[in-house]
Amino acid sequence: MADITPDFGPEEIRSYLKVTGWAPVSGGAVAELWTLPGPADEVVLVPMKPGAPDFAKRARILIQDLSRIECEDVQTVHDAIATIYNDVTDLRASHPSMSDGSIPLESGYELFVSAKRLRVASAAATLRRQGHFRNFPPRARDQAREVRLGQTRRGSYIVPIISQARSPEDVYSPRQDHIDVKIEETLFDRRVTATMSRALGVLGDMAGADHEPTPSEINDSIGEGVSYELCKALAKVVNTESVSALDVTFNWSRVAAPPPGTPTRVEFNREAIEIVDLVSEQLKSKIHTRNHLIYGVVTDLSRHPNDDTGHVGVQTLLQRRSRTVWMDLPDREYHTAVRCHDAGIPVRVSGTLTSPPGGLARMNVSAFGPDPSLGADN
Amino acid sequence: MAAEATSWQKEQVSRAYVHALATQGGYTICDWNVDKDGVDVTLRSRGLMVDIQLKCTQNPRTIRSGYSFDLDIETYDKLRDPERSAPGHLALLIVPRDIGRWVIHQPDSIVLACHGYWSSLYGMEHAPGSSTTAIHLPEHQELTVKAMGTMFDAARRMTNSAGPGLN
Repeated sequence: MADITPDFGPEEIRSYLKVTGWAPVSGGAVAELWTLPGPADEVVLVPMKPGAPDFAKRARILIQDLSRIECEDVQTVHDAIATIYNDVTDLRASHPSMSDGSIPLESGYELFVSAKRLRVASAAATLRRQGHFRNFPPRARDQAREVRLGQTRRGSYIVPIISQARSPEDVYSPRQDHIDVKIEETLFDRRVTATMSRALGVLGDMAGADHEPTPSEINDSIGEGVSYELCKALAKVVNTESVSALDVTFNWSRVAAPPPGTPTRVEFNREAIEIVDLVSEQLKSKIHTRNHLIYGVVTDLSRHPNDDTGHVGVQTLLQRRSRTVWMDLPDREYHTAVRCHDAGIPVRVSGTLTSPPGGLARMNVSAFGPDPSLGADN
Repeated sequence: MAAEATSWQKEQVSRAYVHALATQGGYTICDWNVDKDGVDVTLRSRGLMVDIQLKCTQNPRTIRSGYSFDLDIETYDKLRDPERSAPGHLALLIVPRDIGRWVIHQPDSIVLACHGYWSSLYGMEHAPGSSTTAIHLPEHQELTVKAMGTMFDAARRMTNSAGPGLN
């Protein structure tokens, strides 16, 4: 028996089994049996009560069974179950001299600090698209406090940032008429990671292009979440003496489909950082503009037969409280709103937001569509 | 006067007994190691599991219609816990007083001269005492292959209340 203490509960086990092809065959309050279709006709028992005296043993037996069936070591299977709801972003610092997996204290410090800066900048860009923030929204700072740091790994120096992920298929249903604050908070974590992935991907593309980025390209990159602060966070790490390159790998949770169009790995070496510096300088001097983003579900739809626009209510979190934001949408976007409402697909709306205390929150919309962070628009 | 066997000798002969029955019944065994959940052996059959705490004695305490064994409360509470995902049992193996008679060689066989009884503790009431509680092992509940089948029937019922087609 593997000497391992299971660090997960029944929900993680069930989700893991579901995404790896297992199906439940029977179940009661204390235990379920799951089977893996195939010639081997495997059956495993899932303990359902974490407080039971035999839960840890039953979970260990399960890990051992899965380890045998999947031909993986028990630690790998354990970690895969324990992190099933997590997106893990690995920041990997490398340098030719870094042979023993250690890193100078100063570079390590910079890597950790930059991990937080990248996360805060991405969270801020998830709330508002701005080239240069100067002052981050409080929610962006709060979010960076909620993500977790995994154990660093040897080899090259890796800092894993662990954030929550949740499958929207599990939380939204067709004609959803309200949002759940707790679930929205979890979905926000996934949205921030998606913003970070997209923004770093765009920066990576600009750094790898055969021409310097044009002002127009830099302007467009703001829409993908690139900001002055994000660029500076990257540059700080790579410009330390003992780090020649930083690569960022996104390991998306297996319960939530990866956000479409996001890269899984982006690398920045010294050469790439020269371009990042160029982008950051232009963003710093850019005229201050902001574009709000809200995420939520369409809860209200109304349009009279002869109207050009439809009136739409999107329930969202504003300053961590549930609010309905009202907007008028032209024909095409209104149809998109109807489709998202009928299918239970969360939406992302950008534009100018006004939300006077005690008054109606309204948005002058510049873009409306399914939330691309969640990969739910099938 | 027959010598008292050591606890490891009793433990090993109990396991040999259970191992032989499980083999005949087609059940696999896992978790022989001493565990913290009051279980000595776990039997398995197509995902289902049955937990048994084994006790062995050369001097059984007989009561009317069976045997009685004083089980420590800590183990009792773990085995009776209604939130367990597999039923917990106590099995009492009775061996001859003379250790020389535990195993009898015959021309075509080896006879393991012990017999066992079992009691299901799953879902039992809170014990009144604070250190031990007397478990009744009825004489009709012999530890046999058929008894193991009965234990698995109980384990199956624990996973069957919702039926197939879970979400």
